Amino acid sequence: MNKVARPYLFLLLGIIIAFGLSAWADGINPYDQRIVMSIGINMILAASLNLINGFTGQFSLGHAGFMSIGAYGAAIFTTMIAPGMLGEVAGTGMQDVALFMGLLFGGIISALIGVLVGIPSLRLKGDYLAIVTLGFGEIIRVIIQNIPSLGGSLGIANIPRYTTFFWVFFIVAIVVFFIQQLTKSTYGQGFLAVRDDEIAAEAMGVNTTRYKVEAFVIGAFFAGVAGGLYGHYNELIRPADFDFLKSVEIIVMVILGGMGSTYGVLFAAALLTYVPEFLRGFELFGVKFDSFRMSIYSLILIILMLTRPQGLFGGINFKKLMKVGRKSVVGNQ
Amino acid sequence: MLQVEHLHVNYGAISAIKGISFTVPERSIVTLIGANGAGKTTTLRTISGLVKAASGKILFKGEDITSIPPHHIVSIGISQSPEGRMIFPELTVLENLKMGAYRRKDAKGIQEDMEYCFNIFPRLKERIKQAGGTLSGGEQQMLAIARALMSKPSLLLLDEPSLGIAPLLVKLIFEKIVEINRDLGTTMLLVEQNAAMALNIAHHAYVLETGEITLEGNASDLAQNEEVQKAYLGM
Ligand SMILES: Nc1ncnc2c1ncn2[C@@H]1O[C@H](COP(=O)(O)OP(=O)(O)OP(=O)(O)O)[C@@H](O)[C@H]1O
Ligand SMILES: [Mg+2]
Repeated sequence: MNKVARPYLFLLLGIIIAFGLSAWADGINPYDQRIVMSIGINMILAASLNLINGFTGQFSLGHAGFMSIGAYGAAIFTTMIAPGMLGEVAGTGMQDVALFMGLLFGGIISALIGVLVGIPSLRLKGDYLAIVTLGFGEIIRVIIQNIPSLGGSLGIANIPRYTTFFWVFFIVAIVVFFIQQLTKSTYGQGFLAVRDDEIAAEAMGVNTTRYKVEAFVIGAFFAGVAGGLYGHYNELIRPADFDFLKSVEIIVMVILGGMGSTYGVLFAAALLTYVPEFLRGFELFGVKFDSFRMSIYSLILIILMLTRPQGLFGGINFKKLMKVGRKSVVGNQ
Repeated sequence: MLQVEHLHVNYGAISAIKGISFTVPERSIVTLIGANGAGKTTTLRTISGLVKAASGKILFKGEDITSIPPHHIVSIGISQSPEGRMIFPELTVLENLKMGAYRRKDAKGIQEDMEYCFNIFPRLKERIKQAGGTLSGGEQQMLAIARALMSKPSLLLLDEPSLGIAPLLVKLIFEKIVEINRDLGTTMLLVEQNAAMALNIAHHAYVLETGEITLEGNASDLAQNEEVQKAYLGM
């Protein structure tokens, strides 16, 4: 297969899957629908955080903050701005237009804030950056909580349900395509270089400042879009939905999936969204797992991290796996 | 080609470089020898723009480059093989080399230079798909030099290429440095603790002691100098 055409083929495949999923999932019960929807939204969140944490090596703990900015931005757009621009849209074909514009609106605001958060990343690394981004996420939450016109801690209710399976998985496909294209290009190697050795990258002529801010901006944009999708599915958004725990949840997906492995991270997002729901209904010898499902979930995480610290897919070279039998040359350390 | 004039560099309150001046003529190999903490790495990093000068001037091809950011320094033709090699551990040998050519657009030229690198360091070619971090120390040093060459520099800054490498391999690497200088006419500023090796291949040498230049001269003359022999050649 032609190397240039392949990513586009994957994108096409992703869009076909999005269509297929929406045809299939429209028929299933609402509870399962919600799980599938959450999986898609978490995939977008995890893949976008993977650009910041996995590819560029910046430890951000504020992804839920970006998500909330997008969620509020999109909700404000569709409920307040869109009616003036597009007239009555609910139930018409225009609702997709309104959603699209709302997602874009929320995503762009989130990206702008991403610039602000990206700037400290120029001076801070590791734990320090984690603390600053954690602080950012909490600040955003507290600010929103204290703005009466945004509903305070009660949030915004009655957001129209415009989000469809197609939109969610279409955007998953777009995010994956975009990040793959970005990181596999010569330009994109810069992200990996920044992660691997920042000073060396700088010495090679890589403008490390630009990459770090760019990672934050792109990551924030897609997190914002995910927030918009979430709001327009859940119909209600509250500051508490985007707390520190949500950021941790996304980080865990990235770490478990294997920092910098897009497909690993998608898989982890699906797995970690599904497992707690699966345990909810699980019963063994008459013991219902529902009440301590989160403990089991945590236990699974610990076991996975102990057995595969590099992540489920991290460190796996898929091309090499295809050529089993042929031994690869290992350096003479 | 390179002129450093009255350069001062501070780290906070610590003064690391205290007004040094030296020149590196075109196509020559100039070495800066000195003990631990003399300020050798600091000097190179200041030339690359990674560290800011407090005062003084750095001229490259007659132009003042003292406050140019590091990513532009590479574009104007200066590249560095950093101390401790700083290979990208998770990138393959090939990707490391491509990162060296990061600022270049001429695909054909890049290919030719890559072939040149594989010519002088055939070991790298054998390990083209191997992750940089899994190379041996000596191989990593070869990769660091090759990676620096990939930007097609007119001035190559080499920071302790002998660091932590077996003597036999050090000899090979120094031979390659001479070969590159001869083949490509690349001007070199070599920073070394291994004074014997450095004085052996350099044309001109400077001795750096706690941020100041205390001696300079023709490399072979300095190798005969009593003070140098005592302090750096262990004679
Ligand atoms: N980032 C830094 N912050 C503070 N001081 C520094 C920093 N980098 C270097 N120094 C100090 O500046 C002085 C010169 O250091 P430099 O690394 O340039 O020495 P060097 O000649 O390269 O030594 P070596 O041969 O051990 O590599 C030392 O005293 C060192 O402690
Ligand atoms: Mg040094």
